[in-house]
Amino acid sequence: MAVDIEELYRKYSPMVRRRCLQLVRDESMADDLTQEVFVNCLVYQERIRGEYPSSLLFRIATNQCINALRSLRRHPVDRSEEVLLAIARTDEEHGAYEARTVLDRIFRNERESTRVIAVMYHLDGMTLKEVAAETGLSISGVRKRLLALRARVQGMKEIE
Amino acid sequence: MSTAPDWLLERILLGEVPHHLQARAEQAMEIPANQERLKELEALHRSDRTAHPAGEAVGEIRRVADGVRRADSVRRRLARRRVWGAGISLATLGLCLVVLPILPPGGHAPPPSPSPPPTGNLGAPAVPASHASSVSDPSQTPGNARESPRTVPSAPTDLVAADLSTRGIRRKGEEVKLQIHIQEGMRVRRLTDGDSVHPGDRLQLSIRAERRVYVWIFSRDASGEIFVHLPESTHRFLALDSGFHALPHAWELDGSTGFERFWVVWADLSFPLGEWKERLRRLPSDADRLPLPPNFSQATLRLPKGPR
Repeated sequence: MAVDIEELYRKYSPMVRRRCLQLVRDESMADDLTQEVFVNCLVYQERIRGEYPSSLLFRIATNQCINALRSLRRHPVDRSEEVLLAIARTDEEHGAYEARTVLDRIFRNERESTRVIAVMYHLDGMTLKEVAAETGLSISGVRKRLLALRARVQGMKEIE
Repeated sequence: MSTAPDWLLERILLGEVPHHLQARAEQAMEIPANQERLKELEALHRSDRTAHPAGEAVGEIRRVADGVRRADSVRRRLARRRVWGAGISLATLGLCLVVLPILPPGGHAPPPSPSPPPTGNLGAPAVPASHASSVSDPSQTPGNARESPRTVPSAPTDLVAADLSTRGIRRKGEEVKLQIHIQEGMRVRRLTDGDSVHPGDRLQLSIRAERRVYVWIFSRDASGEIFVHLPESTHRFLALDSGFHALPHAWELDGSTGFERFWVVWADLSFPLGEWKERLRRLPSDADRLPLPPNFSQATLRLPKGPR
């Protein structure tokens, strides 16, 4: 089924742009990323099936933003700092250090889906069940990924 | 229940609350603060639609998507060709195996290659004789204070201490090639040494290796700052099989000006990067060769960088 990109854009671009802005904190970058989200949607339209477009677009936007933030590591000003702090605030018991390390891990060498899972869980405050439903994984799968991520972060911390 | 997050309220606003969020959404809407926020979001959506009309944006989205599809199709075609190429190579090899035993003794079969020189104590594959003979390494001279008896140091400390002068550099430029492409709107152009770049340019690095090697790719700008492009997550040289490898991420150049010099360093074994980086920082920022011990090779591209 062909995607009506104009209708999708008209209805969902405000949500997508707000999501991008929330993660990258830069309006022109959020505009570019919004466009990329819909480009992806058009290019890979055969993968769109049976879910609300808002769920899919939210997930694509999250992933695009994480990728964009990774490339921003090249910039002198690290915008991921904002996301870092947001994560630190949502996970006080682990503190800013761990949040920083978690994010670093997320941005550097975790699987794409794990990065999205971690952002949804830590930053968006979704429950395991909600993250599982959003990403199409099982709850135990999501839990395992998060636990493995935490263990790797803990391991890194001990090494350092 | 506290204030609902925006992502949930936006699903409510769009009328797309999935089953797993139904209960949470219903609870959220019982709270007046969430109802207020929902109204705010509705207004924000309206103003966003006014500021970003679909007509203009969708035209651009379609154009870009067409470009991406074309690029995907070219990539798939190239991948198919590689598969065919591998098949033909295997068939040729098979044919040689069948034909060679029937060649008469003293025929045209080439003489066996000379044995490679001995390797270091890490068991690294030997350097081809042709390369080894071209290496002029005064550190091998008896009595030289920097003499290093080993061709492959066993640890980074030894490796750095062995000799970090410019002696012993070998450039096996054909073994590993560093390629840099720049994105220019819808176009992608390959950069060569001396091509100019600007802050904000997006570069994609890739490697073509003739054989399995361990690589380290980094860049330095005019201020001497070092950025490691590969490996991304470990702190050792990364193993790459022979073939073409695009780095997983493009890089956007920062605002510094002067130049960007990209390096690929490769070896037959993996080494930790820590001390290397430390020593690099002490080199002049515009050094065009790295003082590498034997059995390490390098290739570099310098891209002058100025304001747009």
